[in-house]
Amino acid sequence: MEKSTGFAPKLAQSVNVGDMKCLSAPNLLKLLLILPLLQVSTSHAFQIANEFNEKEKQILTNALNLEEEKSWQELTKEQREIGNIGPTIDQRHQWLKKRINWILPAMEKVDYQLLSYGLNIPYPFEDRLPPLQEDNFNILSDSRPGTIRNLSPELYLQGKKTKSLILFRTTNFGNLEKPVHLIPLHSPRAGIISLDQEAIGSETFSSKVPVLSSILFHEARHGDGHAENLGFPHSVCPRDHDYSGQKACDRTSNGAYAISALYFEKSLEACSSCKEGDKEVLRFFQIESQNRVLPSLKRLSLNTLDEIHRLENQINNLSRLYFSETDEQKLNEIRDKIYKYHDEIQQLEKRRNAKQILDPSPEKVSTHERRFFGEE
Amino acid sequence: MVKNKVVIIATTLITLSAVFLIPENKEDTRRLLQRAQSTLTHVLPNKKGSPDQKKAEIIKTFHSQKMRVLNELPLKRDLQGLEQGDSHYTPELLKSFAKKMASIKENTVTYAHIPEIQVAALDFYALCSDREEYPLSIRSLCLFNRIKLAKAQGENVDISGYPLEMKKLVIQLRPF
Repeated sequence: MEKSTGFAPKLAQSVNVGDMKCLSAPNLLKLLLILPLLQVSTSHAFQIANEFNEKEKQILTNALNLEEEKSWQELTKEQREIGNIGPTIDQRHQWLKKRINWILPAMEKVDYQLLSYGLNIPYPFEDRLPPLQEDNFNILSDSRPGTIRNLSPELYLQGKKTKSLILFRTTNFGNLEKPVHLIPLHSPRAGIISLDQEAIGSETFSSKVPVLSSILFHEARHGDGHAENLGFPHSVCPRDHDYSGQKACDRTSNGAYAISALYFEKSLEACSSCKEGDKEVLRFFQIESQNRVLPSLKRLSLNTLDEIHRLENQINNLSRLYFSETDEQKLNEIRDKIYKYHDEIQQLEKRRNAKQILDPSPEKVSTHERRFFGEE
Repeated sequence: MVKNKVVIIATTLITLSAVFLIPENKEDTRRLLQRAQSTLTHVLPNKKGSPDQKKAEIIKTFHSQKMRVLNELPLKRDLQGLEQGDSHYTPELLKSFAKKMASIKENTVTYAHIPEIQVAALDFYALCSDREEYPLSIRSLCLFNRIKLAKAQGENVDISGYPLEMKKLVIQLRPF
C-alpha cells in the first residue's frame, strides 16, 4: 500500500508506530531543513490528483465549482440551521472550499506516508473525543469500488490521540515544480477526500440531478464539528429502519445526511427547467437522505428506552393472546391494555422529537503550530 | 370505452390480489403479476386504424410498465443485507429504481388527459405505498404521489394507517 518516492527514503528512516511514522530527533531536523523545499501545502483552491484523466477532472471541477447549478431560493430559518449554506452559487462554492481542498483517487492508487510532528502538542477539548469509530487506519485501506471518503477528521483525530501533528505526505498532486506535498492535519477541515474514479464514471442521471455535488457537500460536513461531535459521525440505524443495524443514519438534525437532503430539496426548488422525471429523482434522493436523519436520543435516557422496549414486548405478548382468545370480555380487556400501552409509548416517544443541532465549528491546533506549518 | 373501464377494473383487482392476498414470496408475486399482465394484453381492443388505437396502446404500455416496476420493487430486506460501506450513500439498487419511478411519473404527467392512466397510476402508488416490506423511502414517495394524484381527481386519501415516520417524510416534500 505504502510506496516511497522522492524524499521518502530519507524520511522513512523514522521510527514506525503502527502505520504512522513518528519522527526521531535527527529526522525531525532533516524535516526542518527540507521543509522550505517541500513547501507545506495549505491549499486555497481545489487540487485534483494526477491519476484522474482529463474527462474525470472536468466532471470533478464542474461538481466542485457547481458549474451546472442554479442559485437557490432564500433559505428558511430551519434550513439555515441545518447548514449555513448561502443560496448563491458563489456562497455555496465558498462553503465547499472551506472544507474540501484535496481530491485523491481510491487509496490503493495513492502514494502517501503519514508523518507525525511534535510531542505533547496542545489540542483543544483534549479529553473529549467522538464515540468510538472503526480503526482509524482502516480508512486508508478501504478499496471498495465507488468509495468516497473524507479522510481529514479521522487523521486529525489520530493526531489528537497521540498529541502530535499528522502530516499527510503525498506525491499524487506532484509536478516538476513541486513533486511532493505535505498536508498538515491541523484541523478536521484539512479537506482531504479520497474518491474512487468509479464513482464518477457510473453516474447516469441527468445533469439536473447533482448527485456528485451533493456527495461532496455530505463529505464536507464530515470535516466539521469538535469534541464529541468531531466529524459529525454517523449513528447506527434503529430496528425496523431501511438500513437497520448499519451505520448509515444521523442522530443530529444538521449532520451529513441532513446536508444531502437539504441539497436535493433546494436543487428541486431551483430547477424550473427540470422534467417531471428529474424532479421525481430529486424528490427521491431528498426523501432517501431525510429518512436517515433520526430524532435525537439525547434527551431520552436509557431507562426511558428500556421502558419503551418493555411496553412493546407487553403489546406483542398481549397481541398473541388476543388472537387466540375466544371470550369476548377477555378480548376487550386485552384490547384496552394494548391501547393503554400504546398511549404510554406515545407519551415517551414525544420526548424524541427534540431536534439536536450541533455546533459545526471545527477544532484547530494552537496558533503557534499552525504558523509553523504555513497557515495564516 | 366501457370495455376499457372493465379491463382497468379487472386488472386492478388482479393486481391487488397479487400483491395483498397470495404472495408467499417474490416469485409468487411475479407469476401473478405476469398473469395479470397477459390477461390485459388479451382483452385490450385491437382496432387497427381506429382513432382510439393509439390511446389503447398507451394504456397498454403503461400497464405493462406499471406491472414491471411493481415486480422489480426492491424490498427492505434487500437494503438491510447490504454491506456497511454500500449503504453510506443511496445504494445502486435504489438509484436504478428511482429512474423507474421517474418514468412512471413522467408518463402520469404526460398523459394527465387519459383517465385510465390516472386510475392505473393511482393504483400503482397505492400498492407501493401500502406494503411494509418495501423501503420507507419508496413508500413515502409513493404516498406523496398518491395523495397528489387523488387530490387532482377530487379524492382524499385516508393516511391514518400509515406510520408516523412516513407521514413526516411526506410532509418534507414541497410544494405539495
